[in-house]
Amino acid sequence: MERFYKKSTADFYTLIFLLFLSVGTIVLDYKYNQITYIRSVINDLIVYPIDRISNLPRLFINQLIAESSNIKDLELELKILEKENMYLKIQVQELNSLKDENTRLRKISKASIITSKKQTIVKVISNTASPNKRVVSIDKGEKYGVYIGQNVIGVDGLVGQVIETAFVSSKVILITESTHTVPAVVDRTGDNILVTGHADDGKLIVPYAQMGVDIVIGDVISTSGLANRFKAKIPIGIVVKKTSNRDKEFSDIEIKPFEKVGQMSELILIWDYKPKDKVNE
Amino acid sequence: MNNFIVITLSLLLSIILTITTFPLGYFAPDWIHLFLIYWILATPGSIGLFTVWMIGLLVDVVLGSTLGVNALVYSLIAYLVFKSYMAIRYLTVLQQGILILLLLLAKCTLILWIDDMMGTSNYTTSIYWTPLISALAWPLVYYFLRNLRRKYNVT
Repeated sequence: MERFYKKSTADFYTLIFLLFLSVGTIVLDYKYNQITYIRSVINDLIVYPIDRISNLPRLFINQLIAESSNIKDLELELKILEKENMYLKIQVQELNSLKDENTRLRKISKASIITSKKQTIVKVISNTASPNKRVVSIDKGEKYGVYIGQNVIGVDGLVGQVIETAFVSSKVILITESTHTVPAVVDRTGDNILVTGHADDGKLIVPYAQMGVDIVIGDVISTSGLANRFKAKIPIGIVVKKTSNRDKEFSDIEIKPFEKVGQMSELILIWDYKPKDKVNE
Repeated sequence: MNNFIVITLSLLLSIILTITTFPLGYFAPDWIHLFLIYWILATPGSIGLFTVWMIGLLVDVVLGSTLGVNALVYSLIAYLVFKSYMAIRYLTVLQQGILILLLLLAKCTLILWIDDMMGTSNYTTSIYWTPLISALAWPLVYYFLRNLRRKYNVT
């Protein structure tokens, strides 16, 4: 009994020590952002392999589906893709000439133009990497130079930004996360607005849009580049619904993102834009 | 040695379960904590408070919360369980479930409080679903781990 008592007092001081240690790590992580490397080490050594293991069944099923599709289907798909490729090539030709013209015009107006030179295609390891936020994890990390704040896009439009990097994996917060906001612009009018995620999946809203704001259904919304967080002119989505409620001071504007944000298997990282200030600093 | 391997593997399994049930959001049981509480109750000698703290830190990384929040609440609850495992062991599974509900409710309140104090708004009040679901899942975890413990003779 005496030994038991001795042990328990020791336990108590361990507890106090650990509580102080926890408070210390909370302060270091939250206030000074100093110990992110501990996070990335744990992430690489333990969480990343577990993540991979827990995704094995899904990969296996996907492979089975891919193998069971027959050759005829594949040939058909090939034909469609070839057609699409041809169409895209023609479009690129037009685009190139437009780009040249644009560069020339910008030179006249002395404005610099940013064009994407480098992109990296990354695979999504898990579409739900957090229990309470819309965060996905991707299979590239600091090893490939991925940095916090890097813009992540899909083939059709904006998807999100990198919020956490480890050595071999990173986490991307999606624009549909309800605590995430993108500074945006209405392409037709040039009005600056804010686009926030919504609790419903695949839906974006404009908070604090005044009653008389000039936004109509069908307007294309893209990033404005304000606040130096996202590169300018990345398409976000299209306005699908606008309701003006007399009781409220603001009108409800609903935007459908171009990308199926949250259900993607591949994402694109762009490299020509670096946020001016780092996240959390 | 047997202890170490079985406990480590089961905790890894709990992390896998946590990651795979992320799509359920707050309606997913708190697998890691349930597994941990079981092992503390069953074999209090094989897990130390410091190990619990490390596991809490791991949970922080898995959930993406501020480093130390879960480590703090895990070690606090583990301490309470360490202190009273003798009494809790002799309760029925249902009673243990109710006790775990209360413990996890306290944990969620503490997490929300810390979260609110920092202004990070990582969590919302729907976090309170988790203790309820976890308490319901407790018999499942209990019998699964007891079979495991008896099969591999973990003491």
